[in-house]
Amino acid sequence: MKTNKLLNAIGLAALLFLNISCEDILKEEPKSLATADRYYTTPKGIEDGLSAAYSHLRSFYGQEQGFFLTVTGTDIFTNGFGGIANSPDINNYSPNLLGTNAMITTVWDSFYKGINQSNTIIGRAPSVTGLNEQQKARIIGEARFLRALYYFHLVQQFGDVHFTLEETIGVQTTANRTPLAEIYAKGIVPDLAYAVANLPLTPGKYGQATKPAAEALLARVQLTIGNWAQAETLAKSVIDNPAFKLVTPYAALWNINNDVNSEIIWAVQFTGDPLTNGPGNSGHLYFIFDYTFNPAMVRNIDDGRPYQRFLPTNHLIKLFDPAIDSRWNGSFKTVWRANRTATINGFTVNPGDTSIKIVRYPVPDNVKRSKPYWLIDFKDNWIGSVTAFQEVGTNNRRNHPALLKFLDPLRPSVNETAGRRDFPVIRLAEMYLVAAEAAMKQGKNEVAANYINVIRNRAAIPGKEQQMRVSAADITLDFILEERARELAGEMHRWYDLKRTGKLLELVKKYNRDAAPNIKEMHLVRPIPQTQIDRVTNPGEFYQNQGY
Amino acid sequence: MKRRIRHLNAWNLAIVLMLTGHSLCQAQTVAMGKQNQDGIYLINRRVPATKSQNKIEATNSVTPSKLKEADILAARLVSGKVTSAAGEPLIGVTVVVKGTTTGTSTDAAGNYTIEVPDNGGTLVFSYIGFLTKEVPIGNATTLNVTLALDAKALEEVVVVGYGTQKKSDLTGAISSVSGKDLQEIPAANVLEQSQGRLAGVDIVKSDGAPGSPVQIRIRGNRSINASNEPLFVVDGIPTTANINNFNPNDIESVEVLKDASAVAIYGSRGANGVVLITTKKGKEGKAVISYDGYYGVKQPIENLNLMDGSEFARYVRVSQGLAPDDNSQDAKFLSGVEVENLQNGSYTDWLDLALQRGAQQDHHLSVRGGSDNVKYYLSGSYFKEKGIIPQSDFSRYAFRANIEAELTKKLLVGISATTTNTLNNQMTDAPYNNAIQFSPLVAPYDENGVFVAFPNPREGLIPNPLLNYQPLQYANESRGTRIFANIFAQYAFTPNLTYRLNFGPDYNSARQGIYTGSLAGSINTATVNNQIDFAYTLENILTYDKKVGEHAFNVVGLFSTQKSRFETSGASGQDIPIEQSGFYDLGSAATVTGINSSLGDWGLLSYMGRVNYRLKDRYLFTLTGRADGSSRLAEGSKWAFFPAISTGWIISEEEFFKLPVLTFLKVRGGYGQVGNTSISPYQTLGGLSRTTYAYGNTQGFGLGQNLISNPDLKWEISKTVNLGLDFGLFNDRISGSIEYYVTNTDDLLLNRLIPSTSGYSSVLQNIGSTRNKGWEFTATSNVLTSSAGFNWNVDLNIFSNKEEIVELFNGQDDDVGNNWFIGQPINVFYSFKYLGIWQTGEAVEAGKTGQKPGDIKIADVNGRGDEGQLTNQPDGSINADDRMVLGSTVPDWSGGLTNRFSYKGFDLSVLVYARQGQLLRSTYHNLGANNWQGRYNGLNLDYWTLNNPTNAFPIPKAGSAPLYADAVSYFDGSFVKIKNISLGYNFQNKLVSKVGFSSLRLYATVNNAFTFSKYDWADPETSNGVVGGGTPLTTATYIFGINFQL
Repeated sequence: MKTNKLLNAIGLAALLFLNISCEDILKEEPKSLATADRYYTTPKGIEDGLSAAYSHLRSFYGQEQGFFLTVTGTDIFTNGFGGIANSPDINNYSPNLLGTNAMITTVWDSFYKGINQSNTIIGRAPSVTGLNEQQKARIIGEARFLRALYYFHLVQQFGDVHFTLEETIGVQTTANRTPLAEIYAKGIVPDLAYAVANLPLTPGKYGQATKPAAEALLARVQLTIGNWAQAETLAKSVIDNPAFKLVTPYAALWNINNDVNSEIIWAVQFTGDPLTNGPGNSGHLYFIFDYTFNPAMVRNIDDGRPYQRFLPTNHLIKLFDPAIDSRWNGSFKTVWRANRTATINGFTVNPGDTSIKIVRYPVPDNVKRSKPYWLIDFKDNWIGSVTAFQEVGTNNRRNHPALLKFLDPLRPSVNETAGRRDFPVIRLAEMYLVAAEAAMKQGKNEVAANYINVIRNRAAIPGKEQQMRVSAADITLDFILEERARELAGEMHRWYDLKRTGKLLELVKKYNRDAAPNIKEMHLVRPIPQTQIDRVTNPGEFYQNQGY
Repeated sequence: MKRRIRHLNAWNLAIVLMLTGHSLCQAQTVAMGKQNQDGIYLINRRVPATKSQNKIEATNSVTPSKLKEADILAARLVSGKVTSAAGEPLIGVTVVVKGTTTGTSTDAAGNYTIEVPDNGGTLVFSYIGFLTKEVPIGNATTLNVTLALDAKALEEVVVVGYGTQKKSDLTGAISSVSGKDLQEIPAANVLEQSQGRLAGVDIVKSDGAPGSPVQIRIRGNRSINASNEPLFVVDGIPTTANINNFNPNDIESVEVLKDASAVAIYGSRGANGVVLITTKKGKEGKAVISYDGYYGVKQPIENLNLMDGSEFARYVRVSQGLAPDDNSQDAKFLSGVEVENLQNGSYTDWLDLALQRGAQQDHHLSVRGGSDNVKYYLSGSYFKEKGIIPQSDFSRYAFRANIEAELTKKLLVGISATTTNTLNNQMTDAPYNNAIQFSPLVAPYDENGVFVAFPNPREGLIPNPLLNYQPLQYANESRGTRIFANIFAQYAFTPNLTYRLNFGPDYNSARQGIYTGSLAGSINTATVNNQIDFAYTLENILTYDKKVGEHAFNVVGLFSTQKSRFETSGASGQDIPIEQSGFYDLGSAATVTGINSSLGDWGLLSYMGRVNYRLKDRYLFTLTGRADGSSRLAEGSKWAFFPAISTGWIISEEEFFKLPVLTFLKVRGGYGQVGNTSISPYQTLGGLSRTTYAYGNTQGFGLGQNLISNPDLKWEISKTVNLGLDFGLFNDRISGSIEYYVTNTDDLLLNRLIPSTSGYSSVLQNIGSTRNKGWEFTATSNVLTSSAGFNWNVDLNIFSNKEEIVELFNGQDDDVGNNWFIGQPINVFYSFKYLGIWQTGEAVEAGKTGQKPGDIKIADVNGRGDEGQLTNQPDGSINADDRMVLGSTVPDWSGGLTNRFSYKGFDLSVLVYARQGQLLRSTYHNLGANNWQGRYNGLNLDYWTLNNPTNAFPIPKAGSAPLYADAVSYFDGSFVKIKNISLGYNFQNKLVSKVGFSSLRLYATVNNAFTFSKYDWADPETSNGVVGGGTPLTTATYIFGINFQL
């Protein structure tokens, strides 16, 4: 019975298959899935959770949305060619600046992810085994520092926002609008106070939050909410910290090989390693114009990939006195070199020759035509209305001094967007300015002048220190704002500075002619993202900011 | 419950093993005899159509005997005439001596003469559109034969899940199409071939790229987040993987199970319908070798009409606020080379350069035959499609072996297996998109003929559209190997009770390699991704079949286990020193930019029972129940039971029913539940995801909150009521069905977007419900059979499905954030309603919304009341509230009409396919972002200027996109397509046999011949409602083919 055997064999084989247990087949045992309950219980786990809280910084600092929300729509920067073409609304305060704006949505979403991650760490760190109290306090301190920073941005951008200090458990579909004073009082200030008290003076790993970083951020916060004395004390504590020194000359601050320097109090980290660099610092894209319109130039790594988003206003250009202040040449690129052979004004231009030169004064046309390069002059015509071909702003808002602070010649290729430069969130010079503003607000103009003279002294062209000095009589709010513009142009402070000093509407109307016709009181806060408004189940309580 | 059923299963096996010894040697007829019985029964009933056949059988009642070549020692001639039932001679009828290669065909008068063995045998008469007939020769020298029309669609046997049924016995909703009909369409896969042929089945090709997927939706979309893909069952083994892997030439038939009563036997996997694919099996008889091959060319279907150089210059000037012909300031905004080319009239047609003529070919060789005990079907095929975009192609080598062996009269074993190798090259969208956008005033090459990456000096962002076509600039190659089989053993305990064991392994391995070069100044990058999937299905099926007097039972019981495991790994790097190495030498990359691997698996346990009961041959009942347990759902919610009941009544069998015209009438109704578990594994668990940061140069990878766990996740359940009516008119010369159904789907597995203030953006929940209701009409008819040999057949199907969201997580409220609206289909277009263009006279009114003449005018449809509530009344201002549902991607109705004509050796078929009432968004008309600012080229639109006060498109403006630009990109996507025209000629057998063939057919086919649509820029057929960029142009295909048998 051959077939009999065969059948038995088949039957047996089937029996073997069927012996796979039912329960086994229905059990899920993922190999690569970690959950908060299981993972955030060990020292390694909680540290990884803390790193996740840091990661959301990179969706703001060094990114287009972060720049648009802090740099443009101010008295010193407006839309360049690419800005007006691709995303004019934030600078222009246009009727299209609505909750649907993708940049605003990105910032909102990632900051709240950062806050929930911070809340998770703050809530779970105390029960991690294997850490001593000091280590726990350090971890909680870093997370509270980050939470404060995220909330600080949110309240400045949006006003009253959703506020919670607890990790989200389960599905949460409602949101609250907590008055910003309460967010400062219960969140930002105590968080930073805790960080000041518990963080170490120097970081375990470079880039982690430290006590001076917390002091510096708290100084900025106290200045914003009008606690002048505390602001000054905190800023002074950082200034007096021997670990930090101003970098000389000013231009050395922006050397790509010098982004870790003695002036950095705290920076958001980017690296040359594409594996850990994430989106990278893309600041190099935005402040330059398309130099390839010049026949002697093709796109290259040193000059950058021109996204052409931001353009200095006439006001900013005129704030500098290049004869005594090294910060003009330290902040702006005005000369470009040819990298192909071409003819300009009848002259043959070879690689290495000057191809574009921008000057801050008017030049007669015949002089321009006599040069073997494009000589771009400045007649103080409003940038958007310039038609003369070789004048700052012409060619549809091209041809302008280009902020060089974020250029990144170490990118691997010309179109690479991910740059390696750390983003300097707080540097020492800002603390002098914070201290000066706080002192002035307390009527101590002499003290304020002393603070400011430290950074003006550093900025002075050698031999011009005396001309750069200011006295107590020079100290006004406008002067401090101008000094901040000279020192910190492009470094994601300006919109907050104008808002803090109550000067946003006045100065934008005065100096930013793109934004002037539109800006209104309502623009002191941004629209809440439409996705947030659409998704909450308590839309009556969670409403859109007025006017949007 | 689980334990007991498992126990029961072991018990089943014990029975199998115990009974083995007993019943093995008792040779009895296997269960297949049942079908024969039923077949004869039906033939007897259909008297008019089969009268002649019975007559012949009566006169030649000699038992057919098997012939072997050796038996044919002596030979003699038999001649006769073949006619239709109406008495007309049939020309070209194939006449073959059964079991031999001896054959001929009838001449113009229907006469034939054939050499037959002296000791008799059987003649087989076959002819397209007629039933094949076997006639014993006996001692006859003249055999006049009448062939019956093959119009009795209702008598077809159709494949249902876990068995077959006569079409007339069905109680559920099933559509089917035969492999022969499918092969009229030259396409890469069976779905594309099925388009327009299956009522209730919406099939659309997503784009024109070779190897691109085809979307199939059976009776609409039910699920918002879980899959809406149907389950494919190939020779009994379920699979969800790529249908492109199956060679369509091997397919005998496709059946689509649509309602819950038909589908319930697939329980948890059936919510979206089931597509049963049956491949060709061996047939008893001498080996028949067939070859079918074609070659054809493909042309893009487009009418894009881009701006040429001078039109582009005019548009640029207008965008700068100048008159169209004012060339005084060209140098300011055009680059030097553009100005020069404009003056010379030297323009570049980029689209023409970016596209090529495509090609498609298919070669299929098969052998089919068998003896008493062993039957086989073997095939090998090669398919290749070359796209209209260079470096895009799809090729497939497929081999199939379907073998069955009857080991004893009771034991049948077999395998149906296929192995497939695919190679797919894909090109990016860049050449095609960039060709549309690039300035026609620059040339791709410099004066020395050297390629320039950025030929337009004022354009540093978009490279030369031809960049990716340059050597070593781009490759995206996918290779795959798939082995798919059903290995089975079937044992008949008694003629009525059969046990079957199916084991279906499905192995798939795939590799994708992507390389981008450095010609445009970027660093070169390469990525390799590997995937290995293994899934198996193990099924134990007991079938009991019994007829007692007026009661006929068919009972099926099933226990099955399915398991799927999928593993991926990949790596990517950049700065590869030797460009030629492409993605094959990642180790040489200066920087490794990513390494990943993953593992996923899921399992499913199922118990199923089904009872078919037929009383008095006219009252039909089907009762089905299936219990499924899925690993993918939460603990405690893993198991669900899916019941279904359906019934049918063949009214025409009743004594009282005597209508001369209506020869068949059946009503049927059913109700059932099916589930959907098609979500990714591990979604109930929640979890962390990796984040990237750095501390100085130290890595700062972290794990951050990402998914909220949902321990309550359970089945999404669809409940369907189906009512059907089947009819046959004029002796079933016209037959068809009407269906009406309502499907309610509850506990949707909904990926609900939540406010990001929670720290999360979405969560998967069982919330909300959808409803699909619709009707379907199918008819098939033999319209004309003329005495001159002219035949005309028509197949028609029309169907309509209304898909709507009934409930969402906030009850009856719309979810604007997700674009989900109560009462609307799942995929809708939600935007501003376009009214036209603000004209010069309307400057003041336009100014109220901050606009100017030439700008887009939008309907003010909504406003807010005092308490912020929507009023649905105009409020004089335009804002986000004025968005509205403009339409959806779901058609109002669709249909297909096939006309087949034959005359003498010629056959012609024409398939018309219509899809009406859906909206589409055209990205060619995307005027947002940079696209309508005088920077990029585009369609030569009729745009507003001072001297052209059109209402069609807004004026271009440098520096700002038109406000509400999105509103102009929506179009009525309705279309009617002459999907296929196929003309063939069958050579007369006399001629053919001289060259050694038994049949020979030559044919020419045009696929996608003509499209009629209001949207006439490109093919309006789209799977996601979007036409244009990113979806390569579809093609019309012109094919010549040959088909012969040995």
